[in-house]
Amino acid sequence: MSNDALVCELNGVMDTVVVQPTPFCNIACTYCYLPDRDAKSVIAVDTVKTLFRKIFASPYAAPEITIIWHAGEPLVVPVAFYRQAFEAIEALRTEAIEVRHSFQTNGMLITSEWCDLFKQYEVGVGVSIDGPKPLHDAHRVTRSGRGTFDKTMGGIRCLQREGVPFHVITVVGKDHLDNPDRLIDFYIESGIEDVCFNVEESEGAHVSSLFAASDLQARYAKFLTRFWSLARGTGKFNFIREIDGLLPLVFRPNESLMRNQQVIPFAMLNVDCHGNVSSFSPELLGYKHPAYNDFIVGNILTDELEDMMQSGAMQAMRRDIEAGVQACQAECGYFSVCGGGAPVNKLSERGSFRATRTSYCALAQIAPVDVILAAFDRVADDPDAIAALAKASSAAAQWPVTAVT
Amino acid sequence: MKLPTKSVKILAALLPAGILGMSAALASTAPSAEADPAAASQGAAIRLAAIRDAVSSVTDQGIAEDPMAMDQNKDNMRVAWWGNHRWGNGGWHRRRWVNGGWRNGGWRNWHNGWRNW
Repeated sequence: MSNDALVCELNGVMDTVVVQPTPFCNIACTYCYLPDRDAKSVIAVDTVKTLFRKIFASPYAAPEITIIWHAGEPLVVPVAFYRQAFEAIEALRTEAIEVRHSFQTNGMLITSEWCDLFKQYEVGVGVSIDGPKPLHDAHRVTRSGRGTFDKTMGGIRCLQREGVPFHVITVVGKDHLDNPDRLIDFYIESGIEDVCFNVEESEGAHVSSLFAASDLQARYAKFLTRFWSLARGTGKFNFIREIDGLLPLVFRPNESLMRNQQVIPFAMLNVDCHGNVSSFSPELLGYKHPAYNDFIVGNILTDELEDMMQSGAMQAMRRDIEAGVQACQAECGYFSVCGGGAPVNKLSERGSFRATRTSYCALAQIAPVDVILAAFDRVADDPDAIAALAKASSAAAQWPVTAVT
Repeated sequence: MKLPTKSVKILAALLPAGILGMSAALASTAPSAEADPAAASQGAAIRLAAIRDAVSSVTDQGIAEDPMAMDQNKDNMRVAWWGNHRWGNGGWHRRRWVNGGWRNGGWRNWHNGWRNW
């Protein structure tokens, strides 16, 4: 394929930029997959400027780009850095492109000063908390092994006090599977209304203890079913990502398209603090692999994005990831809602981008779709259910929502 | 496999409520304790395709609003949230729905995206 054809095909594809402002993390979760979380390097504002000058000038930039500040803990870098970086990005941005900033944080360092930044720039905030204190502190610990629950909750209370919307990500380990009721109680008591579950994955050097559990997919499906049913019954949850995020993929018309951003070159541009650039699954940045130049396609300080797209590492990754997607399409019944899986999980679990189903697929895609299809079946099998359904959906439509323009 | 007409009826009741209403309604169908959700995986590809056929039928017949048209309905943010995301093509929108839109991590789930944020 010629370079011109490639650019045309991928025009406007880049809608997510993941920036690692530092690999350093102030804690040491037992399931962390990051290889360099002790390193204290910080990205320079000039590197950020170069990065976004090149992105905005490239054909790949989407009209709307989300910038995720992620991995290690982004809040160990001072607020002042982000003010500088955000202002620099805003100055470089063209009218045709909008940007949103988002942080994924352990919440421990959140202060009113951070909240001011979040509100000023309408930053999306995700806080990592694994449920009530015993579940959270079992894995989310400091380097000396002390639990981090109290400090994370301090950050959440600060967000709530300052009126900053946020969601939480809870890593589901084997101890969570039998405790959906306990999680619901915790979220309600804590005023948490928007919930995402990430399963404990095998990535990098970390081998998931969850993946070793017996009858895992069925247990996780039952966990989700119970959580979904009870949580929606309380009327106190706005968003349960594992279900609500899949509903539009399951219940969509034929003419709609499905897009898996982890398998499209440059749909996600992932950049470390030294300016090294990768794509596809963001976790790949920092891993090693001789066949793919350690997943690095170039450096933003010295290379152009168009040249990175043509690099040997990008071509090799693209070739193998596409082969894996095609294999998924040929053999997996869930392809229409998944689009070919997560390359990092294929590589970590199966040793190849060309692989198909993984344990991560079973939990993150297959089990939730099964839960939704099972609920749909129960409606279809019950003659009275359609009327009840209309009543329930109508009642839900009365729930208060706040529109912000 | 359920009859398509039944699926159309169900979806005609569900789709106008948007994601939140649909989630609440489906969740209200409490399963029995011994129910095995994995049983739903039989013939998943065919069943998912049948659902898409039914959704197309509902929107074509005007039983539920065309999701693309819903996008223009600025007064109904819940319905707009459904439509704003182009039915799975990935979404991002100037307007925000605080209770489930972009700011709460919801918008990006319309495509199958990265989940660690």
